[in-house]
Amino acid sequence: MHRFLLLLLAFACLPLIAQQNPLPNAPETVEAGRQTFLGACSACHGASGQGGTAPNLTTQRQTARMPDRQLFASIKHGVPGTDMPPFPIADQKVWEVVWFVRSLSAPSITTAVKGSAEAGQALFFGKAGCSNCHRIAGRGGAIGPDLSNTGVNRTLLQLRESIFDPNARIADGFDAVTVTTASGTRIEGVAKNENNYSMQVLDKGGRLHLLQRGEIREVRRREGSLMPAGYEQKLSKTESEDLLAFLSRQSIRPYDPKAGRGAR
Amino acid sequence: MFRWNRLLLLMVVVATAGVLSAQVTFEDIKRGAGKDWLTYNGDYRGNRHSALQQITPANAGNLVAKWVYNFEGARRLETVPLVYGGVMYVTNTNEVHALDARSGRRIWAYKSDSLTNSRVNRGAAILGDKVFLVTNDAHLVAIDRITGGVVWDREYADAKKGYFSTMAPLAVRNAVLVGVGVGAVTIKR
Repeated sequence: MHRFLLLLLAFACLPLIAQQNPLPNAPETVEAGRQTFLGACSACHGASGQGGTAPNLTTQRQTARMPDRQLFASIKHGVPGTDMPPFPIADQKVWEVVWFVRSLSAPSITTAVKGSAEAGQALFFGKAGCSNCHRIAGRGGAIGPDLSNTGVNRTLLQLRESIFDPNARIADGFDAVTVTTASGTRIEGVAKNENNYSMQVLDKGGRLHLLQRGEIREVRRREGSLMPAGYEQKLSKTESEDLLAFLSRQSIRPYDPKAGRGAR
Repeated sequence: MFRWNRLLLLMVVVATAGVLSAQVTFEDIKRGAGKDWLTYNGDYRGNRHSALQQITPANAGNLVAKWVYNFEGARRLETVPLVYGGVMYVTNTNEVHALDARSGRRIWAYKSDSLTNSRVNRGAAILGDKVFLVTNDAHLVAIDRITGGVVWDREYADAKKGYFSTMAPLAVRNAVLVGVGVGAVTIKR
Protein backbone atom coordinates (compact mmCIF):
# COMPACT_ATOMS: atom_id res chain seq x y z
CA MET A 1 0.00 0.00 0.00
CA HIS A 2 2.83 2.31 1.00
CA ARG A 3 4.67 1.57 -2.22
CA PHE A 4 1.51 2.06 -4.26
CA LEU A 5 1.00 5.51 -2.78
CA LEU A 6 4.59 6.43 -3.51
CA LEU A 7 4.21 5.30 -7.09
CA LEU A 8 1.00 7.28 -7.41
CA LEU A 9 2.73 10.33 -5.99
CA ALA A 10 5.62 9.93 -8.42
CA PHE A 11 3.25 9.73 -11.39
CA ALA A 12 1.20 12.64 -10.10
CA CYS A 13 4.32 14.75 -9.89
CA LEU A 14 5.65 13.86 -13.32
CA PRO A 15 3.76 16.52 -15.31
CA LEU A 16 4.95 19.14 -12.85
CA ILE A 17 8.55 18.22 -13.36
CA ALA A 18 10.42 19.92 -16.14
CA GLN A 19 11.67 17.61 -18.90
CA GLN A 20 15.18 18.96 -18.56
CA ASN A 21 17.20 20.22 -15.64
CA PRO A 22 16.14 23.87 -15.17
CA LEU A 23 19.46 24.77 -13.53
CA PRO A 24 22.50 25.72 -15.60
CA ASN A 25 25.32 23.20 -16.02
CA ALA A 26 27.73 25.42 -14.09
CA PRO A 27 30.68 24.42 -11.88
CA GLU A 28 28.90 25.89 -8.84
CA THR A 29 25.78 23.81 -9.51
CA VAL A 30 27.80 20.59 -9.86
CA GLU A 31 29.73 21.41 -6.67
CA ALA A 32 26.52 22.19 -4.74
CA GLY A 33 25.13 18.86 -5.97
CA ARG A 34 28.28 17.09 -4.82
CA GLN A 35 27.88 18.54 -1.33
CA THR A 36 24.27 17.33 -1.09
CA PHE A 37 25.31 13.96 -2.54
CA LEU A 38 28.03 13.55 0.11
CA GLY A 39 25.47 14.09 2.86
CA ALA A 40 22.50 12.20 1.45
CA CYS A 41 23.69 9.62 -1.08
CA SER A 42 27.32 8.68 -0.43
CA ALA A 43 26.56 6.18 2.37
CA CYS A 44 25.11 3.80 -0.22
CA HIS A 45 26.51 5.05 -3.58
CA GLY A 46 30.04 5.89 -2.36
CA ALA A 47 31.64 9.34 -2.04
CA SER A 48 32.60 9.36 -5.73
CA GLY A 49 29.50 7.51 -6.88
CA GLN A 50 31.60 4.37 -7.29
CA GLY A 51 28.95 2.23 -5.65
CA GLY A 52 28.63 0.33 -2.41
CA THR A 53 25.37 -1.16 -1.26
CA ALA A 54 23.76 0.86 -4.05
CA PRO A 55 24.73 0.86 -7.77
CA ASN A 56 27.91 2.37 -9.19
CA LEU A 57 26.79 5.63 -10.81
CA THR A 58 30.02 6.11 -12.78
CA THR A 59 29.46 3.08 -14.99
CA GLN A 60 25.74 2.34 -14.88
CA ARG A 61 24.33 2.97 -18.34
CA GLN A 62 20.75 2.93 -17.08
CA THR A 63 21.37 6.07 -15.01
CA ALA A 64 23.38 7.76 -17.74
CA ARG A 65 20.54 7.27 -20.24
CA MET A 66 17.77 8.28 -17.83
CA PRO A 67 16.01 11.56 -18.77
CA ASP A 68 16.49 14.40 -16.29
CA ARG A 69 12.90 14.25 -15.04
CA GLN A 70 13.17 10.51 -14.29
CA LEU A 71 16.44 10.97 -12.42
CA PHE A 72 14.83 13.80 -10.46
CA ALA A 73 11.83 11.62 -9.57
CA SER A 74 14.08 8.71 -8.52
CA ILE A 75 15.93 10.95 -6.08
CA LYS A 76 13.00 12.94 -4.78
CA HIS A 77 10.46 10.11 -4.51
CA GLY A 78 12.68 7.03 -4.35
CA VAL A 79 12.41 3.95 -6.53
CA PRO A 80 9.55 1.64 -5.47
CA GLY A 81 10.58 -1.98 -5.09
CA THR A 82 14.22 -1.12 -4.40
CA ASP A 83 16.24 0.12 -1.43
CA MET A 84 16.34 3.63 -2.89
CA PRO A 85 14.36 5.78 -0.41
CA PRO A 86 12.74 9.16 -1.15
CA PHE A 87 14.73 12.29 -0.36
CA PRO A 88 12.17 15.01 0.37
CA ILE A 89 14.60 17.90 -0.05
CA ALA A 90 14.01 21.16 -1.91
CA ASP A 91 13.62 20.77 -5.70
CA GLN A 92 16.62 22.99 -6.35
CA LYS A 93 18.83 20.70 -4.26
CA VAL A 94 17.59 17.66 -6.19
CA TRP A 95 18.32 19.33 -9.55
CA GLU A 96 21.84 20.13 -8.30
CA VAL A 97 22.33 16.46 -7.43
CA VAL A 98 21.07 15.54 -10.93
CA TRP A 99 23.87 17.63 -12.46
CA PHE A 100 26.42 16.04 -10.15
CA VAL A 101 25.22 12.51 -10.96
CA ARG A 102 25.41 13.35 -14.69
CA SER A 103 29.04 14.46 -14.24
CA LEU A 104 29.95 11.05 -12.76
CA SER A 105 29.47 9.22 -16.05
CA ALA A 106 29.45 11.99 -18.67
CA PRO A 107 32.47 12.69 -20.90
CA SER A 108 34.39 15.48 -19.20
CA ILE A 109 33.93 17.73 -22.26
CA THR A 110 30.22 18.00 -21.35
CA THR A 111 30.87 18.90 -17.69
CA ALA A 112 31.16 22.54 -16.66
CA VAL A 113 34.61 23.41 -15.33
CA LYS A 114 35.91 26.34 -13.29
CA GLY A 115 39.39 26.69 -14.75
CA SER A 116 40.86 28.28 -17.85
CA ALA A 117 41.76 25.76 -20.59
CA GLU A 118 44.26 28.26 -22.04
CA ALA A 119 46.12 28.58 -18.74
CA GLY A 120 45.94 24.79 -18.38
CA GLN A 121 47.59 24.35 -21.78
CA ALA A 122 50.51 26.52 -20.68
CA LEU A 123 50.85 24.41 -17.53
CA PHE A 124 50.64 21.12 -19.46
CA PHE A 125 53.45 22.06 -21.85
CA GLY A 126 55.36 24.06 -19.24
CA LYS A 127 55.59 24.24 -15.48
CA ALA A 128 53.56 21.11 -14.64
CA GLY A 129 55.81 19.00 -16.87
CA CYS A 130 52.96 16.78 -18.15
CA SER A 131 54.22 16.84 -21.76
CA ASN A 132 57.51 15.23 -20.70
CA CYS A 133 55.59 11.94 -20.65
CA HIS A 134 52.16 12.57 -22.21
CA ARG A 135 51.33 13.43 -25.81
CA ILE A 136 48.45 15.48 -27.20
CA ALA A 137 47.97 15.61 -30.98
CA GLY A 138 51.51 14.34 -31.56
CA ARG A 139 53.17 16.82 -29.19
CA GLY A 140 54.88 15.59 -26.02
CA GLY A 141 56.46 12.44 -24.59
CA ALA A 142 55.52 8.85 -25.38
CA ILE A 143 55.94 6.97 -22.11
CA GLY A 144 52.57 8.00 -20.59
CA PRO A 145 49.06 7.52 -21.98
CA ASP A 146 48.19 9.70 -24.99
CA LEU A 147 45.74 12.39 -23.86
CA SER A 148 44.45 13.65 -27.22
CA ASN A 149 40.87 12.55 -26.55
CA THR A 150 40.49 12.84 -22.78
CA GLY A 151 37.51 15.18 -23.03
CA VAL A 152 35.54 12.38 -24.68
CA ASN A 153 36.82 9.17 -23.12
CA ARG A 154 37.30 10.30 -19.50
CA THR A 155 34.93 11.77 -16.94
CA LEU A 156 36.04 14.77 -14.93
CA LEU A 157 36.29 12.53 -11.88
CA GLN A 158 38.60 10.10 -13.70
CA LEU A 159 40.82 12.98 -14.84
CA ARG A 160 41.00 14.34 -11.30
CA GLU A 161 41.90 10.90 -9.96
CA SER A 162 44.60 10.36 -12.61
CA ILE A 163 46.31 13.62 -11.71
CA PHE A 164 46.02 13.58 -7.94
CA ASP A 165 45.96 9.85 -7.19
CA PRO A 166 48.02 8.29 -10.02
CA ASN A 167 48.46 4.96 -8.25
CA ALA A 168 44.71 4.38 -7.90
CA ARG A 169 44.55 2.89 -11.40
CA ILE A 170 47.34 2.14 -13.86
CA ALA A 171 46.22 1.95 -17.48
CA ASP A 172 46.87 -1.28 -19.40
CA GLY A 173 50.26 -1.18 -21.09
CA PHE A 174 51.83 1.27 -18.64
CA ASP A 175 53.35 -0.95 -15.94
CA ALA A 176 56.82 0.39 -15.17
CA VAL A 177 59.65 -2.12 -15.78
CA THR A 178 63.44 -2.21 -15.96
CA VAL A 179 64.63 -4.96 -18.29
CA THR A 180 68.18 -6.24 -18.58
CA THR A 181 68.71 -8.07 -21.85
CA ALA A 182 70.88 -11.18 -22.28
CA SER A 183 73.55 -8.95 -23.82
CA GLY A 184 73.51 -6.69 -20.73
CA THR A 185 71.55 -3.71 -22.12
CA ARG A 186 69.34 -2.02 -19.50
CA ILE A 187 65.96 -0.76 -20.68
CA GLU A 188 63.77 1.44 -18.47
CA GLY A 189 60.21 1.94 -19.59
CA VAL A 190 56.73 0.48 -19.65
CA ALA A 191 55.61 -3.00 -20.68
CA LYS A 192 53.10 -2.57 -23.49
CA ASN A 193 52.41 -6.29 -23.38
CA GLU A 194 53.99 -9.49 -22.12
CA ASN A 195 53.41 -13.19 -21.66
CA ASN A 196 55.58 -16.24 -20.97
CA TYR A 197 57.20 -16.02 -24.39
CA SER A 198 57.74 -12.36 -25.23
CA MET A 199 57.70 -8.80 -23.91
CA GLN A 200 57.15 -5.50 -25.73
CA VAL A 201 58.76 -2.55 -23.94
CA LEU A 202 58.55 1.17 -24.73
CA ASP A 203 61.56 2.93 -23.22
CA LYS A 204 61.73 6.44 -21.78
CA GLY A 205 63.23 7.74 -25.03
CA GLY A 206 60.20 6.58 -27.02
CA ARG A 207 61.92 3.54 -28.56
CA LEU A 208 60.15 0.20 -28.83
CA HIS A 209 61.96 -3.02 -27.85
CA LEU A 210 60.43 -6.30 -29.05
CA LEU A 211 61.94 -9.07 -26.97
CA GLN A 212 61.60 -12.82 -26.80
CA ARG A 213 61.95 -14.27 -23.29
CA GLY A 214 65.25 -15.90 -24.26
CA GLU A 215 66.64 -12.43 -24.98
CA ILE A 216 65.81 -11.19 -21.45
CA ARG A 217 68.07 -11.78 -18.45
CA GLU A 218 66.04 -9.95 -15.79
CA VAL A 219 62.82 -7.96 -15.39
CA ARG A 220 62.37 -5.65 -12.42
CA ARG A 221 58.92 -4.20 -11.78
CA ARG A 222 58.21 -0.93 -10.09
CA GLU A 223 55.35 -0.70 -7.64
CA GLY A 224 52.90 1.98 -8.63
CA SER A 225 52.71 4.39 -11.53
CA LEU A 226 55.58 6.22 -13.26
CA MET A 227 53.38 9.31 -12.90
CA PRO A 228 54.77 11.37 -10.01
CA ALA A 229 52.54 11.80 -6.98
CA GLY A 230 52.07 15.05 -5.07
CA TYR A 231 50.47 17.25 -7.72
CA GLU A 232 48.13 18.61 -5.06
CA GLN A 233 51.17 20.29 -3.49
CA LYS A 234 52.93 21.13 -6.76
CA LEU A 235 49.96 23.01 -8.20
CA SER A 236 47.83 25.73 -6.62
CA LYS A 237 44.08 25.19 -6.51
CA THR A 238 43.60 27.54 -9.46
CA GLU A 239 46.32 25.77 -11.45
CA SER A 240 44.72 22.39 -10.73
CA GLU A 241 41.39 23.63 -12.06
CA ASP A 242 43.11 25.14 -15.13
CA LEU A 243 44.85 21.85 -15.92
CA LEU A 244 41.57 19.95 -15.53
CA ALA A 245 39.85 22.47 -17.80
CA PHE A 246 42.48 21.94 -20.52
CA LEU A 247 42.40 18.13 -20.34
CA SER A 248 38.62 18.01 -20.23
CA ARG A 249 38.41 19.92 -23.52
CA GLN A 250 40.62 17.55 -25.57
CA SER A 251 38.71 15.93 -28.40
CA ILE A 252 40.05 14.45 -31.65
CA ARG A 253 36.85 15.19 -33.50
CA PRO A 254 34.27 17.86 -32.63
CA TYR A 255 32.28 16.21 -29.85
CA ASP A 256 28.97 14.70 -30.93
CA PRO A 257 26.89 13.40 -28.00
CA LYS A 258 25.01 11.03 -30.33
CA ALA A 259 28.20 9.42 -31.65
CA GLY A 260 29.43 7.82 -28.41
CA ARG A 261 32.69 8.04 -26.55
CA GLY A 262 35.10 8.61 -29.44
CA ALA A 263 38.51 7.12 -30.10
CA ARG A 264 40.22 5.17 -27.37
CA MET B 1 37.62 -23.80 -41.61
CA PHE B 2 39.15 -20.35 -41.89
CA ARG B 3 37.37 -17.78 -39.73
CA TRP B 4 37.41 -14.28 -41.18
CA ASN B 5 37.39 -12.55 -37.82
CA ARG B 6 40.85 -13.94 -37.20
CA LEU B 7 44.07 -12.98 -38.77
CA LEU B 8 45.95 -16.16 -39.53
CA LEU B 9 49.52 -15.54 -40.45
CA LEU B 10 52.30 -17.82 -41.50
CA MET B 11 55.06 -16.23 -39.56
CA VAL B 12 58.25 -17.49 -41.03
CA VAL B 13 59.29 -14.30 -42.76
CA VAL B 14 59.48 -11.56 -40.23
CA ALA B 15 62.06 -9.06 -39.26
CA THR B 16 64.30 -9.79 -36.34
CA ALA B 17 63.87 -8.19 -32.93
CA GLY B 18 65.17 -4.70 -32.68
CA VAL B 19 64.80 -1.18 -31.48
CA LEU B 20 62.18 0.77 -33.34
CA SER B 21 62.23 4.54 -33.56
CA ALA B 22 63.49 5.40 -37.07
CA GLN B 23 61.45 7.18 -39.75
CA VAL B 24 59.96 5.53 -42.84
CA THR B 25 60.94 7.50 -45.95
CA PHE B 26 59.59 7.67 -49.50
CA GLU B 27 62.87 6.06 -50.64
CA ASP B 28 62.26 3.13 -48.29
CA ILE B 29 58.84 2.52 -49.84
CA LYS B 30 60.22 2.95 -53.39
CA ARG B 31 62.85 0.26 -52.81
CA GLY B 32 60.03 -2.28 -52.52
CA ALA B 33 59.41 -5.23 -50.26
CA GLY B 34 62.33 -6.73 -48.40
CA LYS B 35 62.23 -7.55 -44.72
CA ASP B 36 59.61 -4.79 -44.44
CA TRP B 37 56.30 -4.45 -46.32
CA LEU B 38 55.65 -0.69 -46.36
CA THR B 39 52.71 -0.21 -48.70
CA TYR B 40 49.53 -2.08 -49.62
CA ASN B 41 50.93 -3.61 -52.82
CA GLY B 42 54.47 -4.07 -51.50
CA ASP B 43 55.85 -1.43 -53.87
CA TYR B 44 54.67 1.29 -56.26
CA ARG B 45 54.61 -1.13 -59.24
CA GLY B 46 51.90 -3.10 -57.52
CA ASN B 47 53.27 -6.56 -58.30
CA ARG B 48 53.06 -7.70 -54.65
CA HIS B 49 56.35 -9.58 -54.99
CA SER B 50 58.84 -10.21 -52.21
CA ALA B 51 62.40 -11.15 -53.05
CA LEU B 52 62.85 -12.98 -49.75
CA GLN B 53 64.03 -16.55 -50.19
CA GLN B 54 62.89 -18.20 -46.97
CA ILE B 55 59.71 -19.68 -48.42
CA THR B 56 60.27 -21.84 -51.52
CA PRO B 57 58.07 -24.22 -53.55
CA ALA B 58 59.89 -27.03 -51.74
CA ASN B 59 58.99 -25.93 -48.20
CA ALA B 60 55.70 -24.10 -48.75
CA GLY B 61 53.74 -27.25 -47.94
CA ASN B 62 55.32 -27.43 -44.50
CA LEU B 63 54.22 -23.99 -43.28
CA VAL B 64 52.28 -23.92 -40.03
CA ALA B 65 50.60 -21.12 -38.10
CA LYS B 66 52.97 -19.52 -35.59
CA TRP B 67 50.33 -17.36 -33.92
CA VAL B 68 46.73 -16.21 -34.35
CA TYR B 69 45.47 -12.76 -33.47
CA ASN B 70 41.78 -12.31 -32.80
CA PHE B 71 40.08 -9.09 -33.91
CA GLU B 72 37.30 -8.78 -31.38
CA GLY B 73 33.97 -7.99 -33.01
CA ALA B 74 35.28 -8.07 -36.59
CA ARG B 75 32.88 -9.47 -39.14
CA ARG B 76 35.45 -10.07 -41.85
CA LEU B 77 38.99 -8.89 -42.51
CA GLU B 78 40.12 -7.79 -45.96
CA THR B 79 43.32 -6.07 -44.87
CA VAL B 80 46.88 -6.34 -46.13
CA PRO B 81 49.17 -5.93 -43.11
CA LEU B 82 52.17 -3.60 -43.25
CA VAL B 83 55.42 -4.58 -41.53
CA TYR B 84 58.16 -2.22 -40.40
CA GLY B 85 60.97 -2.91 -37.97
CA GLY B 86 59.35 -6.04 -36.59
CA VAL B 87 55.96 -4.38 -36.02
CA MET B 88 52.92 -5.43 -38.03
CA TYR B 89 50.15 -2.85 -38.58
CA VAL B 90 46.80 -4.51 -39.24
CA THR B 91 43.47 -2.83 -39.86
CA ASN B 92 39.79 -3.51 -39.47
CA THR B 93 37.09 -0.93 -40.13
CA ASN B 94 37.99 2.22 -38.15
CA GLU B 95 40.81 0.52 -36.28
CA VAL B 96 44.52 -0.22 -36.50
CA HIS B 97 46.39 -2.67 -34.29
CA ALA B 98 50.19 -2.67 -33.96
CA LEU B 99 51.50 -6.17 -33.25
CA ASP B 100 54.88 -7.64 -32.44
CA ALA B 101 55.29 -9.59 -35.69
CA ARG B 102 57.26 -12.41 -34.08
CA SER B 103 54.81 -13.12 -31.29
CA GLY B 104 51.50 -11.62 -32.43
CA ARG B 105 51.25 -9.69 -29.17
CA ARG B 106 49.53 -6.32 -29.34
CA ILE B 107 51.58 -3.17 -28.73
CA TRP B 108 48.73 -0.70 -29.19
CA ALA B 109 45.33 -0.40 -30.81
CA TYR B 110 43.58 2.64 -32.22
CA LYS B 111 39.84 2.22 -32.44
CA SER B 112 37.29 4.89 -33.13
CA ASP B 113 34.25 3.40 -31.46
CA SER B 114 32.21 6.51 -32.11
CA LEU B 115 31.74 5.09 -35.59
CA THR B 116 29.72 2.08 -36.64
CA ASN B 117 31.78 -0.90 -37.68
CA SER B 118 30.19 -1.30 -41.10
CA ARG B 119 32.01 -1.96 -44.40
CA VAL B 120 35.59 -3.25 -44.55
CA ASN B 121 39.07 -1.76 -44.55
CA ARG B 122 41.90 -2.74 -46.89
CA GLY B 123 44.90 -1.52 -44.93
CA ALA B 124 47.03 1.37 -43.72
CA ALA B 125 49.85 3.52 -45.08
CA ILE B 126 53.06 4.31 -43.27
CA LEU B 127 55.32 7.34 -43.66
CA GLY B 128 57.70 9.10 -41.28
CA ASP B 129 56.60 8.40 -37.73
CA LYS B 130 52.92 7.95 -38.58
CA VAL B 131 50.47 5.29 -39.69
CA PHE B 132 47.53 6.50 -41.81
CA LEU B 133 44.03 5.03 -41.84
CA VAL B 134 40.84 6.01 -43.63
CA THR B 135 37.60 5.64 -41.68
CA ASN B 136 34.31 4.49 -43.14
CA ASP B 137 32.98 8.06 -42.88
CA ALA B 138 35.80 9.42 -45.07
CA HIS B 139 38.25 10.82 -42.55
CA LEU B 140 42.01 10.38 -42.86
CA VAL B 141 43.52 9.71 -39.43
CA ALA B 142 47.25 10.12 -38.74
CA ILE B 143 48.34 7.89 -35.87
CA ASP B 144 51.62 8.00 -33.98
CA ARG B 145 53.48 4.84 -35.03
CA ILE B 146 55.01 4.24 -31.59
CA THR B 147 52.20 5.19 -29.17
CA GLY B 148 49.03 4.66 -31.21
CA GLY B 149 47.84 8.17 -30.28
CA VAL B 150 46.02 10.28 -32.87
CA VAL B 151 48.07 13.16 -34.26
CA TRP B 152 45.31 14.51 -36.48
CA ASP B 153 41.97 13.54 -38.01
CA ARG B 154 40.71 15.25 -41.19
CA GLU B 155 37.42 14.81 -43.02
CA TYR B 156 37.89 14.76 -46.81
CA ALA B 157 34.36 13.94 -47.98
CA ASP B 158 30.91 14.32 -46.48
CA ALA B 159 29.60 10.95 -45.28
CA LYS B 160 26.10 12.47 -44.97
CA LYS B 161 26.11 12.79 -48.78
CA GLY B 162 26.83 9.06 -49.14
CA TYR B 163 30.62 9.10 -49.41
CA PHE B 164 32.62 6.38 -47.66
CA SER B 165 36.13 4.94 -47.67
CA THR B 166 37.58 1.46 -47.43
CA MET B 167 40.90 1.80 -49.27
CA ALA B 168 44.45 1.62 -47.99
CA PRO B 169 45.89 5.15 -48.33
CA LEU B 170 48.96 5.56 -50.55
CA ALA B 171 51.98 7.52 -49.23
CA VAL B 172 53.95 9.22 -52.03
CA ARG B 173 56.86 11.55 -51.24
CA ASN B 174 55.40 13.73 -48.47
CA ALA B 175 51.74 13.26 -49.41
CA VAL B 176 49.10 10.69 -48.53
CA LEU B 177 46.58 9.91 -51.29
CA VAL B 178 43.04 8.83 -50.47
CA GLY B 179 39.84 8.15 -52.39
CA VAL B 180 36.15 7.67 -51.73
CA GLY B 181 33.30 5.45 -52.72
CA VAL B 182 29.77 6.71 -53.06
CA GLY B 183 26.51 4.97 -52.27
CA ALA B 184 23.96 4.00 -54.91
CA VAL B 185 21.34 6.13 -53.17
CA THR B 186 23.48 9.23 -53.68
CA ILE B 187 24.06 8.45 -57.35
CA LYS B 188 20.31 8.21 -57.97
CA ARG B 189 19.67 11.70 -56.59
